[in-house]
Amino acid sequence: MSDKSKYLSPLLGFGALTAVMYFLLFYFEDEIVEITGKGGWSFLIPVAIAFAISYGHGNFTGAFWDWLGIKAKH
Amino acid sequence: MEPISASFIHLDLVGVLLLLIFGFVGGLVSGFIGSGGAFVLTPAMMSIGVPGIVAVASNICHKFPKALVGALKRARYGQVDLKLGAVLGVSAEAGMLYGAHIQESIKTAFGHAGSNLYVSAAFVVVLAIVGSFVLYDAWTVHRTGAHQAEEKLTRLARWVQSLNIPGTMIYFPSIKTRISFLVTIPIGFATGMLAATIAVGGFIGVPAMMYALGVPSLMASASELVIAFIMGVGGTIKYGWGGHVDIRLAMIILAGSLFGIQLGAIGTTYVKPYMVKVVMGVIMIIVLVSRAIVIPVYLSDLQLIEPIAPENSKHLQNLSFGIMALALVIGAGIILRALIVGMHLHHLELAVAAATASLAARRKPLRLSPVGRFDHLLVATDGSDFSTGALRVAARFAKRNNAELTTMSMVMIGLDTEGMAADVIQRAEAETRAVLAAAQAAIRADGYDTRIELRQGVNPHKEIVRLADDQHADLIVMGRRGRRGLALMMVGDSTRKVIGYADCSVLVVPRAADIWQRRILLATDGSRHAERAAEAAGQVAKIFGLPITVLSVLRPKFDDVRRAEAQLEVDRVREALAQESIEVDSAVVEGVDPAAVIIESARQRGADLIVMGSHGRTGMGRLLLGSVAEKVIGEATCPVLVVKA
Repeated sequence: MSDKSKYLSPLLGFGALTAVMYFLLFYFEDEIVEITGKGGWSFLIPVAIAFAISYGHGNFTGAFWDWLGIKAKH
Repeated sequence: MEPISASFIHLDLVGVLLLLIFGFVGGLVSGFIGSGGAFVLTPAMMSIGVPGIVAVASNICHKFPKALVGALKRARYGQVDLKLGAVLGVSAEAGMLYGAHIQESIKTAFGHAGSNLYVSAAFVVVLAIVGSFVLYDAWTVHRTGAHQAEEKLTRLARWVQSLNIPGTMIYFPSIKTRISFLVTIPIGFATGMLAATIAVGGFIGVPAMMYALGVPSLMASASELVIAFIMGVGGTIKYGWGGHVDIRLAMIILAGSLFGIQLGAIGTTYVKPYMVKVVMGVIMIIVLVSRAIVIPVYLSDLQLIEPIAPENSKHLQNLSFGIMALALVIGAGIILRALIVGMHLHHLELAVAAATASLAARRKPLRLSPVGRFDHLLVATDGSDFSTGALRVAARFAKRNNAELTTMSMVMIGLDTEGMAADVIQRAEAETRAVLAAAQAAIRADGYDTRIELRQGVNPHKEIVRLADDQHADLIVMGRRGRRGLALMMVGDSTRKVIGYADCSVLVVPRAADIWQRRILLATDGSRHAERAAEAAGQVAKIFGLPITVLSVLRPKFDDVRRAEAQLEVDRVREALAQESIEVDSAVVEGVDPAAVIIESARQRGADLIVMGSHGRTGMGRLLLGSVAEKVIGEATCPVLVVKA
């Protein structure tokens, strides 16, 4: 397996996951903004969203630079 | 009452793109120095219409997932001290709450302008003290060239590490020793306070870890991400509880900043540690300028100075924001440049390692051939002064090696000569015989003997080469023309042609030169003829019991692969000669003019014989000696042995 194709599946997988999460965030934009704007325990929603997106998008961006060949020096 | 969410703005495409770009650049800086990427985001969001409190809240909400991803990435490189980050993070959380409380108190007492003045003053004071110290430290490292050296502990760090307060000591892997957590409390607290005030706690946290605790700069900047994560979660809960977090804004910034933070983290693996200080110091000083510019505006708002016209205030604030953004762009530029240069160097290192390994595997150790012992020498003379050195050296070489020596000269018979009277030709022949007889007498006076050969012909080089072939000579010895004017530039035409056409080696001797007695300089370029030159130099060294210096000259334009090859070749030749019990040393020297370097090296090392390989070309190429060889032969004050492959 070439170096590039090794990173292709995580790139596409996490890319799709991130795209879905961002799509859902803006699809339910109004509802989310309304609930989180109320304050109180609704703070859990932005925290949960932030964790979820950091997982998907964090892995996607990591795979993206790997796929481009920009990797850490070992 | 209007719900808070009503203050969440409608996002347009330009606003989204701006946030993505700011996020990316901010992430790049944070990934590299641990923090410092977020301070422009709050004013940037406000500039597209986001209310201040929402901008602050959304900024904090994007920081903690960003810091999490950055910390995980840098933990993979072994740069994160999780324990230190967590211990500092706890007190930073307290510092942040206290900092926010002070902010609110100032705002209540002095209004918006008072709060802004406090923030700007905090920026200027902290950045002036810490920023100039960090930059000075980076400059010192750069100036002293101690890039690779282990970072030195400050006196403060040594004192902190020497403290022993029972019951409070914790071992931190990044410091490799135990320190009292009581010391970490004020550092974490100050970091949190600064984060609540200017949104970049790392401007205190990272330098404090480096200079007060003795944490290496790369580990300090990586561990700061843990502190930023803890503070970010705390801040998000605080602002989220109040309903101020616009998660859409936070996630748009995050989309850009995660690309940046990954790249910044990768960058740390390619740079020298002091680059963290350079980037941090540069950003701090530029941000200081940006905040200092707006202080008069706030002083004017508080009526502490003469009022400033509103349009001037606006200009100053725009200028301040522009400079702040510039700080980030310059920081990002330094990081990207360091990353590109570091990656390029790393690729070169890998190429050098691969080339060296493949060369080492491919090339067998050099073994000196036992043949070519200089058993038969042929010296050519024209009776002029220029031949005296050649005769002297040939005789002494032959005597030392007990070799057969033939001295030849020739009568030029050309088309124009055929028309001459017979007595003219006879006279010329007699003169040449006299030259040979004188040469033979001189050699006999030197305690050796020689056969003499007189040839007639049109071209001297053809007769010399033919005679060498007929007699199976191992070496042709010739004089060199003068060292003035054109003759300095050019080796005599006959000499050049003899070197081109002869199958054996040629020794070119300047008029005043004598037999070598001190050292042989072997110039090598790793080619096939250079191997033969090494064999010849080895033979001469053994005959005369002399040491050899193996020299390779690198031109400045050579890449790292070629440099590694040169070193490998020099080592290989040195080892081969050493195995023959020859005293040998070596040097790889850089120079624009290889011939000048060879001559100068010979002079410096006291070498009185230079040995070089010749291309041994065929056809027209035989006439071309090679500019380096020609210049060395033309300018050296000692004999030069040109060895044919």
